[in-house]
Formats: sequence, C-alpha cells, structure tokens
Amino acid sequence: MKWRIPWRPLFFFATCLALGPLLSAQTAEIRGRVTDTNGDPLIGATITVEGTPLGTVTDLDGSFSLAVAPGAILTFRYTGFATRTEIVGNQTSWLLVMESEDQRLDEVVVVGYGSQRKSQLTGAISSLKGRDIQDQPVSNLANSIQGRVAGLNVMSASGTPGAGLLVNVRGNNAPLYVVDGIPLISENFSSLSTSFDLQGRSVGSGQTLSSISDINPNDIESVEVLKDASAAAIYGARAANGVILVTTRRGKAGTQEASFNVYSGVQQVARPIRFLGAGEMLELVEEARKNDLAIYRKDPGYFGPDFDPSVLTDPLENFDLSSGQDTRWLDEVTRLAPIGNYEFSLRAGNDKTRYFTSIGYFDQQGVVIENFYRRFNYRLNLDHEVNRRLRLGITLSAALSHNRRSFNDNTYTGVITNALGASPFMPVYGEDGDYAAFEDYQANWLSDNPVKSAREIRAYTRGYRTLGTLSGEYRVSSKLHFRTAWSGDLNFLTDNQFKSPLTADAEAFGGEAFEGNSRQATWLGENTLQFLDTRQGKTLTLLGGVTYQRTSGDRSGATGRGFPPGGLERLSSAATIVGATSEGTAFSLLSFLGRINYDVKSRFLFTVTARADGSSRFSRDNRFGFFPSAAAAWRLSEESFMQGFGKWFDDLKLRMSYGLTGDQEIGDFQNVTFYTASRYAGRPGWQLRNLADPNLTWQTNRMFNLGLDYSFSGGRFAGSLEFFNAFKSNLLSEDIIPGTTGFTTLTRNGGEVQNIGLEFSLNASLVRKTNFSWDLGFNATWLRNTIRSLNSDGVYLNAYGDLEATHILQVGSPIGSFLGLKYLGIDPATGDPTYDDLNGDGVIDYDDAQIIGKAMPDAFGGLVNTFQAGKFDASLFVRFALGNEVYNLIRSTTENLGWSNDGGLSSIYANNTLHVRDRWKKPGDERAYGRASFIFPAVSINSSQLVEDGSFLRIQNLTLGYTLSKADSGRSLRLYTEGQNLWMLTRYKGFDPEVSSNGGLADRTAGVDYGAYPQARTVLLGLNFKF
Amino acid sequence: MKKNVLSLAGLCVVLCTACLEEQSPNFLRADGAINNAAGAEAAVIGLYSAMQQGAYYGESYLLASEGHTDNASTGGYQVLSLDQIGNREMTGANLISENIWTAIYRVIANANRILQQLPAVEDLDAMERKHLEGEVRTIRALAHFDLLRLYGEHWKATSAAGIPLIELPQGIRDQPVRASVAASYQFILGDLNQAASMLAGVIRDKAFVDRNTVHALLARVYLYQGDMTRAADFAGRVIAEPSFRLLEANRHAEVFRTRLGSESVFELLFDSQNRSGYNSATYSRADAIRSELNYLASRNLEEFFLNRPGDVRRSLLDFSSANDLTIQPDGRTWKYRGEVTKDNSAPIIRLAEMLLIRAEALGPVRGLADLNLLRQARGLTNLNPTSVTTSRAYTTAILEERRAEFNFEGHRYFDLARTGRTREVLGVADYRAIFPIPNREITANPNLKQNSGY
Repeated sequence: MKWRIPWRPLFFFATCLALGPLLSAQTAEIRGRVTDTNGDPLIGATITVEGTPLGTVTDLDGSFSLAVAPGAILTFRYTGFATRTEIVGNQTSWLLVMESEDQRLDEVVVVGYGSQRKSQLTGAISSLKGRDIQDQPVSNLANSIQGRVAGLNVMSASGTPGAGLLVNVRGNNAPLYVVDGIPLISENFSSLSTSFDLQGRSVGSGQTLSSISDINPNDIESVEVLKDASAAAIYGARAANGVILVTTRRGKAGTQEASFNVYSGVQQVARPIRFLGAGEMLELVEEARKNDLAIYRKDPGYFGPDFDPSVLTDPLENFDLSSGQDTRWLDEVTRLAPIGNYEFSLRAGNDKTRYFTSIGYFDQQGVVIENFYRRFNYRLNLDHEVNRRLRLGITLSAALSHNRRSFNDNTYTGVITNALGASPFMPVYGEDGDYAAFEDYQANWLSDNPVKSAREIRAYTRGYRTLGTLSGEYRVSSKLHFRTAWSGDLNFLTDNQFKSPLTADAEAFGGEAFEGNSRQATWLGENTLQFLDTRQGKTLTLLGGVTYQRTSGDRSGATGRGFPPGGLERLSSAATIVGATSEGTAFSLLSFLGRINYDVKSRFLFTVTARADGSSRFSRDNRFGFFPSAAAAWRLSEESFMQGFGKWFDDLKLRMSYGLTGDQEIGDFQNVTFYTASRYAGRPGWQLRNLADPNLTWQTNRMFNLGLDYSFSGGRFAGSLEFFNAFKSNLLSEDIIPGTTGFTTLTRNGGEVQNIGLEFSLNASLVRKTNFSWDLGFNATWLRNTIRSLNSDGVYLNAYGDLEATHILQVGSPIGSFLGLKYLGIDPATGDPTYDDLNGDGVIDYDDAQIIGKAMPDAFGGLVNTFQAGKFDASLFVRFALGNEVYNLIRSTTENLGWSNDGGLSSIYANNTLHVRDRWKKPGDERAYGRASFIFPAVSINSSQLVEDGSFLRIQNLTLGYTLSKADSGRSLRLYTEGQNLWMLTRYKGFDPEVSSNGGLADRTAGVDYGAYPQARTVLLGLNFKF
Repeated sequence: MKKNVLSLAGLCVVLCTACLEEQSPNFLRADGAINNAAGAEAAVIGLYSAMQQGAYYGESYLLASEGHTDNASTGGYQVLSLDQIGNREMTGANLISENIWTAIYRVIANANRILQQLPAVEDLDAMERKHLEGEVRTIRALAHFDLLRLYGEHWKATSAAGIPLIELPQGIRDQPVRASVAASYQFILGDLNQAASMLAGVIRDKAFVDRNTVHALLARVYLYQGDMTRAADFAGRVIAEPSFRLLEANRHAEVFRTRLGSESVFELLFDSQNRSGYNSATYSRADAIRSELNYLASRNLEEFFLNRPGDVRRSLLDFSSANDLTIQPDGRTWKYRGEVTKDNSAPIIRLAEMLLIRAEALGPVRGLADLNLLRQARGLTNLNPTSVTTSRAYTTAILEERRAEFNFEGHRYFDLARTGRTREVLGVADYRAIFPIPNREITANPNLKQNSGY
C-alpha cells in the first residue's frame, strides 16, 4: 500500500476528471522505441509478429514491449510511413526509425496540451516552422507570420518599432497567445500609449506597445494557429478569437549545433507623401484668395455680413519667397535608419539531458528621428530525464526592451501629423539657432515645431519580462502519463516622459515629467493526465486536466511640473507634483479540461474536446462556462474505392467540426457596480465608477468548420480547403445605455456577429532536382463579417474622443464600418464638393451621416516562392489584401486647398500634397479636387471624400542567399541579402493602406489613418554561421 | 464509486470557486459604500467631484453654451463638434453636447444613490442627516436645472419639452420620458425648497452648498420661470448676507484671481491634481495659436465694450496684437489665467448675478438701483431712469450688463433664450435657443423626443 501514497493527488485529479480505471501494463522480453527521422516518437504504431496473432502498439513515448521467440519477424506499420520488417535477433533493446512517405503529412503539429501528427488532425490548424519565418527585420512574431497563414490577418497599425498589431483570426480580433504553454499577457501596459490633446486630456488610445514583442521570433521552433472550435476549445473561455501557439526551440539528443546569426541594414520611409514646395504653396493660396474674391464680387453677401474683403487682396504676410526657405518637413523628421540583429544560440544534448540556449540583441532605429526600439533576449530550454519514468523540463526566457517613443504617435498632435501639415516657409531653426517658433509661420494646423517635438519630448518605455516554466512528466505506465507544469510570467515596465520647457506642451509650466511603472504577474499551474490504448487498429487517446491561473497587476504613475535648467529631468527635480495614481487589479481562472481522440484504423478520426472555465470576472452564479466541441474526419484516401486514384492522392481527408469557444476579455471588475475614490477641496470621497450588469457572462463563438486536406503526386502538392461559418453571440460589448443612468456604456452581453469564410492553402514543390528546386506556398482567405443583432442598433463610435463619430455598429454591416457624409463629387460648375442629403432636409450636416466604407478586407493572402540552386537560395514573398478601405482623415488637413482656419486670415491651415494639383480651376473643369478657397474648408472631415480603397499587393520580402559549407564538418556559412516591404501596388494616397491610427487593438474603430507612423522599407545584409 | 467521484468533483468546484473571488484594491462595491456616516459624507464629497467633470463644471457646460453666442468664437483643429457650436449649427451628433448630457446625469445618479441610502444610515444624528440631504437635493436641483436650460424649452411654461426627471437610481433598462417644462420646474423647485428648510441656518465655506447657495439658486430658477416676486425675494436674501460684498472697481480683476472671494456665492474649487479646463480652453499659454484654443473672445464682444467706456470688465479681455496673428481679430478672455496651475475655479454663482436678478425681477422702477450699484462697482456711471422707460429697453440694459459681467461664464445663451432674443441677436432660427437632445441618447432611449426644429 505504501506506493500509493505519492499518487494521491494523481488519484484526486483522475477521479475529478472521472477518467476510467487505470489499465495495467504488460511485461515483455524485448523493448524498443519507434521514432520518425526527427526523433519524435511514433505513438500508436502497430507491431505484428508474422504468422502469429501476437502484436502490440507503441505507447505515448513511442515505446513498446513484446514477448517473442528469437527469429520471429516483426512488421512495423504506421500510417504515412514506409512499413518496416525486422528479424528478432539477440538484441533486446530496439530503436527503430521509420521513414515518412510524405514529410508534410507526418509533421508533428502542436495542439493545445499535446501534439499530433498532421495526418491525425481533425481540426483546422495551420502550422508554420520557425525556419520559414526567421531573420525578418521585425520585432514582433505576429509580424513575421503576417500573410503566411490562411485565415489569419495581421495588420500593422503603424510603422512604429515595437508597436501593437491588429491580429485577426477568421474575423475575430485579438487571439490568445500561448507561448510554450503559458497564456501570455499580451496587452499594452505603457501609460504613454494614450494620445492627448493640447489640453492634456486623453482623446483616444495612441500607439500601443505589444508585449508579444518580448518573444524573440528567432527562438521559435513552430507557430500553430488554432482556428476552428475543435482545435481551440481546449482553451475554452479564451479561445473565441482563435489561439496562436508558439513553441520555442529545444535541445536534441546527439547533436551539437551552435549558430551565430547577424544581420544589419537600413530602413527608410517606404512610400513618402510628397508636398508642395514654397512657390507652389503660395500659388495655391493666391489662387484660393482669387477664387473667393471672384465669388465676393458676384455676391458680396456670400461670406456673411461682417466680411472684410481686404483679407483677399491685402499682401500676404510671412509668405516671402525671396528668403529661399523651402523646408521639406517630412525629410526633416524622418531618416535613413539602421536596423541590426545579433544572436548566438547553442543546441545540444545527450540521452539524458538536452538544451537550447540563445542570447540575442535587436536594435531598430525608427525611421522617425530619435525613435528606437532595442531588445535584449535570453533563453534557456532544458530537458532532463531523471529516470525512465520521470522527465523534467525547464523553459526560461528573459527580455529587456528599451523603447524611445515617438511622442503622441498616431494622434493628431504627434511628430508625423505635425510634419505632414507644416509650411515650407517655416525653417526648422531660426536665425538664432533656436527651434523656429511655429506660431510665427503659416500652417496653424501645427501644435508645435515637429523637430522640436521629436527631440525635446523624451519618452522612454523600458520592459523587463521573464517567462519561466518548470514541468515534470511522469510515466505512470506505458499507457498513462501525468504531466504537471508550473509557470510564471512577470512583466515589469517603466515609463519616463519629459517634455522640455521649450515645447508648446510644457512651456506654460516650465517642463513636465511623467514617471510610471506597471507590474504584471501571472502564475499558472497545470496538471494533466494522458491515457492511450490501442486495440485492433483502434486508438483511443484521453486527456484530462485541471489548471489554475491568477494574474495580478499594479500600476502607478506621477506627474511633476517645473524643472530647473541643466538637464535634471527626473521627478524629484520637479517644483510641484501635479498628479499621482496607483492602482491594482487581478483576475483568476480555474479550468477543467478534457479531450478524447478516437482513431479507427486511420480511416475515421474523432475528437471530442471540452473545457469548463471559471473566471473571477463574472458573478458567482454564472462564473463557470462550459465549452465543448466535436470533430470527425474521414480519410478518403484510406478507402478501397479510392484505390483507383491512389496514384493521384497520397492523402485526402474530409473534416468536420462544430463547437463552442468563449471570450472573457472585458477587463477586470466589470460585473459589479463600484464606487471609486474621488476628491474635492482637499477632502477624500467617492463616487460611482460604473454601472454593472451582474448577469454578465462569457461571450461564445459557435463555429462550424468543413475542411478538406489533400496531398497528391507524392506529396508534391498538398494543402487544405476550409469553409467556416461562425456566430459569435452574447457579445461582450460596451453597449450604449441611456445617459440618464449617469453612464454612457455598460459592459453586457448581447448581439451576434457572423463570420463566414473560405480558406485555401497550397504548398507545392514545383521543381525538385538535385541542383535546383522551386517551392511555392500560397494561401488565400475570403471572409465576410456581418453584425446579425445588437442590443442597440446604430451605435456611433469615435476613433478619437474629441472627433465626430467615425464608425458605426449596425446590423447587417461589418464591424469597423465607417460613418460619415457621402461625397458625391465636385460640382463642375462651382468647384464645390457635394454631399448626399440623406434625410432630405436641405441641409448637409451630420444627421446625413451614413455608412461609407469598412476597414476589414474581403480577401487576403500571401504567396511565397522559394528557390534553391546549388549554393544559392532565394525567396520571394508577396502579400495582398482586397476590399479593405481606409478612412484617411489626415487628408482633411493635407488637402484643404489653401483654407485658412484663422480669424485674421493671415495664414493658412496646412501645406498640401501634390495630389491637389489635379484641382478645379474654372467652371466646367472635371477634376479630382475642388475649388481652392481661403475662407471655406474644401474638405468635410468625416465624409467619404476621405475614404480610400486600401487594396494592395506588396513584395513583403525578397531574400537572396549563398551558402558555403564544408561537407561532413557540419559547418556552414550562409550570406544573404534581404529586402522587406520593397514595393507595393496600391491606389492608396497615404503612407500605407495597412494602418489603424487608433492603436492596434480596437477592431471597432479600425482603419483610420490620421498620419500614422510610416512603414519602412528595409534592406539588409546578413549571415548565418553554423558550427 | 460513482457517487464518490461525483461528490469529489463537486467538492473540487466548491473549493475552487472560493479561489475565484478577487477584491479590487481601487474600487469599493457600491452596496457597501454608504452604510455609515463617514460613508455618506464621502459620497457627498464625491458629488462635488462629479460636478467637476470636464463636460460639466470642469469646462464644457460653461464654455460650450458660450461658444454658441456672440461672446465667443471657436478655435480648435477643425473639430466638427466645436465648429458646430461656433457656427451655431448644432446637431444631435455633437460630441460635446453628448458628453455634457451624461456628465450632468452622472451627478444626478450619484445624488440619487445617496438619497436612497441615507435613511438606512444609522449613525447620523438628525441634524447631520438633514444637512446632508439638503446639500444633495440642492446639487440634484442644480443639475436638473442646468439640463433644463440647455435642452428644454425653459422659457415656455406650457411646453412639453422639458427634461427627463430622475429621482431614483436607474436600472439599465429604464427609459424615462421627458417631463413637461412645468413639471421640470416643479421638481427642481421641490428639491430646492426642501433643501432651503433643511439648510436653514447653515453657512459654510463658499466651496460648499449652504443656505446661501440654495437661496441664490432659487432666485435664479424663479427668474427663469418668470416668478419675479420670488426671484427678487431670494436674490435679496443673498444680497443681504454680510459675507458678500462687491469689490471696488480698481480691484475688480481680483474676482477671478482670488478663490472664494467676497463676490463669490458658490464656486467649485479645483487643485493641481484636479485641474479644470478653463485655462487650456481659453488661454493656454502666451504664444498660443488659434487651433490650440477652443473658445476665443469674439470681435463682436470687443465692439460691444467700445460703447462702454470706463467699464473695468473690459480689462479682462485681450484683443491686443500680443495675441498670435491667427487669433486676431478675435481675442482671449483673461478670466481664467493661471497657465502653470490650471486650477481655475468654476464660477457658478456670484453676487453680481443676485444684484442683476433682483434688478431684472423688480423692473425698471424699483430695480434700477441694483443695476446701478453694480455699474458703479465696475467703473461705470449710473443709468438714467429716463433711458430705460420701456420694459424692452430695460431688459436690453439688463442683458447688456449681464453680458459685460458674465461673458465666458455661461449665462449669455440662456439669457437670450429666456428673453426671446436668440434669433434677433444670434441670427439663427428660434429652435436654436436650445441644444438638440444628443442622438446617442435617442438611440439608447427611444422614448425621448427630439427638440422641434432639429
């Protein structure tokens, strides 16, 4: 009885999960292990003894044992692998390596809490290998898988190094990232990611940082995207938006591989916007005044009773061409910026112990002056076999990042937005060498001299991130394994921002400093049991587990004003502290999970998955959510009636799945009505913080998926076709409620969104010769997102807090639909823009606003061509999107045709782009742009005049490499040159049609371009040295 | 065996549900907030803090309505909501108005929670309880009145277009209708009269509601309603208080430089942690350009002062060439200076208003003395009774005085509406005397009817 004691917790979990009684193991005379050529175990391979009914199957380690007489003939069979026959000799311990008939089919794919062969999958999972995405000049792993996975749309909200991304899986925004089993904290915790107006009030989210950037993309072994319910439901309440599983590299027995990788290159703004020079700008203004004067002469009442026409004829002040000043502002704030990456890794091991370790340094200077992102990474992944039964694993990574932020990035008082409107008549520096005072020149769009903003607002965010897991796997018997893993994710971050007294933002109070910090900690415990039994070609795999996770966070910050000269910029030097905050939050999640895989002779595959999640974010009565899913697959290629096609198809598998996943991402403490501290006249008090719906519960995603996996011509052509139809219901949304409650929104459940789509992927080996090979990978996704119901229909949303509504949620339209006036073109007679008077009241105002576009593409995809010719290799990666539109709001500034926005009419609002050359000049002209006018704005902000087709085709990456290797030595040196974002075909007028000024994470207000940080084009040289 | 497994599984769930209870370090569950005297007092402090929201007395309520009048023009970076206000082309989609509406109802929601829970608080003595309730009712009445004069036809007793009156904490599915204007006045006055008896004898710091605040508000509400006798009566009670007194003309600027000065009846205090938006919106910094400022002093206001030689209030307006070129010929008000601290008080009720209410309520014969008292304090000569013989001429004189005194304090828009001069002075259709109900509100509550004309 004694031996039972240590297994009590095990027994506890087992009964909790109601797993059946444990089965006992067999004894045998010969033992062995069956693996593939990569050393990964083949689980469930059948071994038969010829001429006898005897036989067995391999267990979870690929191990087997069998009592046989010497001289017996053993046959090893495993679907997709060449059958092997061996004669039993004296040897009692076997290591049998089987060769795959089709590399792709037999790849091991990581699924939640385990792994499977690709041929055994029943769900929609896309898998990418680390080698396919390495050495790209990007900081974020989501960036590196952009365009490579069907159904996954990754959009860079801006070109800011280290910035957040809009990641969308099958129409659902913000998937769950699981890195080596740890559900990652992926939110943005920097307090500098809010955009402020000049009054210092928050007007929206600015440039978010992505904490996914803390993972070094070059440490990645594989990335799996779990797309349908069957694949994702194992992550239950957090899987509704899809799951991205990231597995980092681990050590391998018997090999020792060191590698040194370095690349270094330069970046520049890929598609600069071109502006009028000083002379042409003056021409535009004079033309605007002339046009207005002509109207005034015809109808003096046109400009109102108090209008003084001398503003149209008096000589303009400050427009002095003789000075020769002709500043190109975009050139002043952007630069040719270096980028570099240096890393060393070592991968080694023996039978007992294996490890992978790497250190790396990534340094990306921004294409906007002063801005940079640097990251130092360390990783150690260690596996150790304590004895035959117990295996330990350690995963440890640390990242330090240092980011000089671009001030108010993505908002209209940022460096780029200021530079976009600035006047060519304004110099960067005045005659005295100080920054030119922007108030003294034209372009009252500016909130400061852009170069001054960039240099004199010094904002830094530093990140300190550690992820670690200690896991143990215990072999209870050949059929039953127990795994326990204990993980932590610590994410510390500090913000320092100093606005020098020279800046318009802090001039009035002699400098301003903000210091903030945030500490997030996740602790995670996971215990799972896995059971395998194979009888008569039928394999049953059971997985059950319990996990508990707690995430807590603290943030604090303080602002001080008034600083002495001499570069003292820390908070202790401030004359007064004007604000301080300190807050904390937490949530916890308890889950029970289970999965049954049943494989009937590799012909029929069934999967049933379920997870029950309890979350602290919901009230006691509806705390637990249950997320089941089921899937079946039929491998047609194994059927006799398909044998005739056998020459064609190596594999043909029809899959079908249906299930539920959930989403709890509403923030903490939304289910209770709270009071929050507030103060008045030096006394403490409290006031209502929110209204809560105590019935708040999970939002669920019901997804149906039909898939077909194919592989033919000896695996030369393989891929999948997927159809999915998903309904996301009980939407957790910030619903509008009557303001008479005292609040505008309430987090509650309601509404339904449908995502329906098709995905196609193909991998082809077009040419496979010894000296030359050509591989092609193509994927395309067609997706339609439609709001089916809402608690309140027609809710207006604002990308910026102080701008008119830019988006609308309306039944029948997709999420992220643009709202505004419908532009009908320029009236050739007058040159005035015309708009649709929707309500027919004779007045064009915002009551005429309607849906005028959408951010989400209809279709997107990518095409990779890889070539190998002797020692040369090349790859060309092209990415495209169709049907996405951009609300290019900055054009209301940069295409205002000489408008003044000025009481005294002494200056103009902003310089204009070259596009305005195509403008109306006389009655009858049919032009893209209307009449230049000094008095009236030519563009109505928030109208379809600013909505543009954002469809594009771009050369995302082009790489050429040359490898020098010494045969047998294992040493190789590869030199390569690479270009990223080299060329693009698009009609879009801004920097880049993949843009979302309002930060990275909000799909409801996506697709706005308010002069977002430009995307870079990168050219680099690199080398990979293996030894 | 099965039973055991089930009960074990059950135990698991029960045990672990307990570990799913999280406490917030920042927030307090609403049901546990107001259950003792200290809690009730904290909630009342919170009520003042709620009034400080940027969309209410933190900036917008006073300045947005001003932006719609001839006192101000708007600046900003082509912000549609601000342009609509400046061009007097308000629509229901206006964001600023939308925020004002909710901010005021936020104050009411806080007030209603306190009123609902106050009776159950045990450790309050009768006197404290009465005082707290009086304070809360006054603020609730002020909030409703501020809504009525911005969104309801406050000058027309027979109008159905009042405002939703909220006297109980609202559930999320409550969709109240608009009360009539008469019912709205009745509700507001009901609260104020109750508060007047509860706060009888209570005199406090001018940053808090006391007897004088209630009387001053009663005077203001009765004036709007047209009950001139009561308006004059309550204004007179405030004027009679010894703690209020007009400054001499040469010290006039101190009215806006001193906190809780002798001309202040009720003001909301701000501090470095709780800054108000007045300075940023109207002055910001010496070199500010037009786009940085939301509300500029209009050229029309400068011209208005040209006819008032000697008026010291002109000194709080800057139309000089020191302003940036983009601002000219508009100018800036200096009522909210203090670029470093940006903690200007919200001047909610001042003694001058009481004098002008009484002057207006008593009519040209009996009221002129009050009007002249103020004129003298502002460096002007007395108005001759013969120049204001008709009631129209007298109202004009009152309105001009109010314009000179209260520009950039959020009175003008309402004064024009209640005297029926919106069209005449602002050159817009009559329906623009009030703002439209925000569209967002009508979407969320279909029971609300839009103001006619919009």
